[in-house]
Amino acid sequence: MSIPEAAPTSKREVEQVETVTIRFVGDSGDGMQVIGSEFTKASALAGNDLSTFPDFPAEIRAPAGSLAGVSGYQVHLGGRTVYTPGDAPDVLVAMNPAALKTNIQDLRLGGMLIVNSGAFNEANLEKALYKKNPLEDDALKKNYRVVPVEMNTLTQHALEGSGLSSKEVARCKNYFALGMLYFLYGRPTEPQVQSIRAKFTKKPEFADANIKVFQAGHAFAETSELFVNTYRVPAAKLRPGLYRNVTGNQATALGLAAAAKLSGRQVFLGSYPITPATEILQESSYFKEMNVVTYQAEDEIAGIGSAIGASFGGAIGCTTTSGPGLALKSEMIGLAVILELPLVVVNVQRGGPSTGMPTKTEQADLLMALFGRHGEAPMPVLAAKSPGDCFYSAMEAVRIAIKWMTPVLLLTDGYLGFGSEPFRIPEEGELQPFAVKYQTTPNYEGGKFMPYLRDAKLIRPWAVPGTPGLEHRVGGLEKDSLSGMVSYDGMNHEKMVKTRAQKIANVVEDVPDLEVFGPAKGEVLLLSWGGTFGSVRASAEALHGKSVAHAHLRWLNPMPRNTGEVLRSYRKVLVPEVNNGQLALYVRAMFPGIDPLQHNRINGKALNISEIVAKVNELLG
Amino acid sequence: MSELRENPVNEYLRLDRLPSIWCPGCGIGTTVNCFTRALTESKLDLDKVAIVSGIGCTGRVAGYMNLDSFHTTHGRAIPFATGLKLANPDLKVVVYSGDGDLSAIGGNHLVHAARRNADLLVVCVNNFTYGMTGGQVTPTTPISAVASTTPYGAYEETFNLPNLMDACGAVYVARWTAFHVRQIAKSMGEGLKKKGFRFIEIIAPCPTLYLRRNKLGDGLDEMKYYKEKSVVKNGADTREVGLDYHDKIVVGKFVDRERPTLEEAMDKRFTDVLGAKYVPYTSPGKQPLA
Ligand SMILES: Cc1ncc(C[n+]2csc(CCOP(=O)(O)OP(=O)(O)O)c2C)c(N)n1
Ligand code: SF4
Ligand SMILES: [Mg+2]
Repeated sequence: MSIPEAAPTSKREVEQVETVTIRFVGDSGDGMQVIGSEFTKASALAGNDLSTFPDFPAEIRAPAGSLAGVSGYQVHLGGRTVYTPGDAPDVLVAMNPAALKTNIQDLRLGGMLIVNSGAFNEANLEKALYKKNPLEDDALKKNYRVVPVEMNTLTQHALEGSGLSSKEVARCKNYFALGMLYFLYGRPTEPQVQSIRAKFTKKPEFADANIKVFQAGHAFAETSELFVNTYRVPAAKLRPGLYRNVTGNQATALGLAAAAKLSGRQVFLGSYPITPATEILQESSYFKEMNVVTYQAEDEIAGIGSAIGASFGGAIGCTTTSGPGLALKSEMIGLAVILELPLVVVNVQRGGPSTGMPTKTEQADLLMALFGRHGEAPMPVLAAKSPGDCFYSAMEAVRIAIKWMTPVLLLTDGYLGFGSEPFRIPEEGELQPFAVKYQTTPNYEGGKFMPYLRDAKLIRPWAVPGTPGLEHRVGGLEKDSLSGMVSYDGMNHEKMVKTRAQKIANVVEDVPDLEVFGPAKGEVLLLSWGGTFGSVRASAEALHGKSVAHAHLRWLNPMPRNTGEVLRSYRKVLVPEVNNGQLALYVRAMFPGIDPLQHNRINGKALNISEIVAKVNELLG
Repeated sequence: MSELRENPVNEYLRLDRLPSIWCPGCGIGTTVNCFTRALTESKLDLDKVAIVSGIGCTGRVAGYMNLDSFHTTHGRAIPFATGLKLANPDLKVVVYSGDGDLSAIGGNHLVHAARRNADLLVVCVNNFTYGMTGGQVTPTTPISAVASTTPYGAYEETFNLPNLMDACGAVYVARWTAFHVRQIAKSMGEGLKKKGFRFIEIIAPCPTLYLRRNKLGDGLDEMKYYKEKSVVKNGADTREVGLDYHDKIVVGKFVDRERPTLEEAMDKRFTDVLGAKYVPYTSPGKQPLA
């Protein structure tokens, strides 16, 4: 492939691009998350659809300049629907050698590398384990459009006489990079200037410095002849409305708060911090006027325990966690199953087992969510498919928990939780309220109250302690099928086990049929669940015209009624997952005779579209 | 020019794992230097010292020490350490972890180990926050301090850790700040020698999260505060050493007493009841092969 040399002209072409993927990488202290999200905001304002993903080290601060300390932020923006943060970046902005080393292999061949050549000194090269300076390597220039920029010096020049220390000056260089990108993508600078002012209201000298550097970066890109073209990404045809950019975790918090409003009941969130779920608790702790109570318990068991207590008291008990925390909560989930009280457990999956890879994504808690409890303890399980969908999934989890008097498990993952996309804020009246009805009167002969007397759907009543005449006892021992009093009768136990299972099976009435994208019958069906939706749907779109369809499971238990029928309409079923084949195993058990093929990647990242496409093409022969 | 000498603490550190993950100005590293000093002065056979930690920024200490070490799960360092010690009575077992790990999720284990007088030296680096997960409130976060989950300031009564440990029966209880490096090393030395449940709390700065969020300056500012606001009161009544937000810090050795350890109590009980039939447990390495 030949890479055009920089054009020796200041009259640049404006190139229209449908989508572009940009990755910002640097040291943890270089402010990559900041400029990544600022560029994202500007793109959202320009009307692009987008999807982002930050990738940062597990340590709060890994050693400066080290390979482990590289922090990145990727944004994929487009003039059409964008499903994922993108496979291979088209543009890589690298602030130091370690960042280059850990990311260059991902840059698309022929892509643009904007690199802070000023950081390629001996010490940094050594920390990145480079024997010689890679920027002097011909291979790099052959494969990519390399734009070396002395950002350190240029930042210093811009801030000459500012009175800032050299350390403070160095901290501004991320805005130099941002300024260049604003020029390259034709973003208006004024909103960014405002945004920097707002960010540093208390420290106007830093605001001034960062603005200067930002403008210097912009001017540099405009005057320097290092850039051949500038680019424009047209606005996407998004549904009209008010949008805000949300991460999956923020959307989950908002979904729970919305459920408080729609149900007219308090949401009680009892949690314990754990990456990547902590943000839901943090975000919710601001919602003091939204009927949301947050309680940071001393551990996960206390977190879920307090939530179950709150549910007994008539609130909507919720708890949020990640793998190791879900394991700790499993005894308590068993209690919620036998009590039949509403409860929402959100599990933001991460690399496991044990402490594993806390900041990296994985889908390996599916089988634990479905089966990881003692005793016969079925419960509804659903999974969000995109950052914005976390909002609707959280709301739906609450609705189901209340309606069916059951704990519900919502699976998201680090990729969704940390990732973001524009989210259309639903308008007043667009969301259906689901009022909660407590039992307030006796429901049995002789003015008695029977807490386990069920309706036709097998749902038991929810009576709040303190309701006159409705005193009742609940607990973890097996209970009589009517009165709820302790019962050791074996046949009563069998009846209760079957009844609880049937009730959860009945939830299927709330599970929409599986929709198929693509031909209704054919060669290959891609079957996905959870956070892989974007990659798999984008793959299916890329395979348009071939005998390939895509179906996505939002509900894992119960599964949609037509699942078996859909699976049997294709010669092959391929299940791409970020685990060792858990949905595939589940499908084999649930639909005997169907033996799905697997595509598994367990490297802490989302699935690559190109890999899925290649795999499908291989299957098509 | 004088010859460059190797840093005397290097012997104890896994140099291949350095530089560490800790932020500039973080107090954890300071405590590690003190610990290596205490180890040198103790003249203990390093093959007989094991370090166990939970999860957190402080929990990473186990990974940097050139000792047998065990980086366990969050909150459970003490149960692992208790088992390790019971199965290997010859080992000196040190638990090194954070305030959240030891007193929140691990609180139950902490109080029971002190009650039993398990033969452990517990070093608790108290930075008033969950560092590793981004600065949430902990049981020691002073009232009114801001944390990521208490954006309007903390409001729960806090643990006075020395008092808690005293009440539960710990035989040695001390508190220092990261400013008191000599005293920390000395306390650690005493702790390494003594038997039974020993607890040392070290107040240490977390500039990245706790200090920044509360606008308390950097690590150096915090050291100044420690220097100015701490009062040494050896033997102080532990009921009176509770901490308020950015206020006076009472430091010193508060408790130093004797009480049979868990092992001793166990041996005594079994010997009293079973006499010669009781065979005390010895370290696996010392057991005759069958
Ligand atoms: C079961 C479980 N819950 C939660 C976590 C997340 N977690 C890791 S470290 C940590 C807090 C550590 O705080 P602290 O003990 O005070 O140590 P510091 O980082 O402040 O040194 C938490 C909540 C986990 N790893 N495992
Ligand atoms: S986050 Fe705080 S406790 Fe953790 S290494 Fe940084 S300064 Fe230390
Ligand atoms: Mg701490």
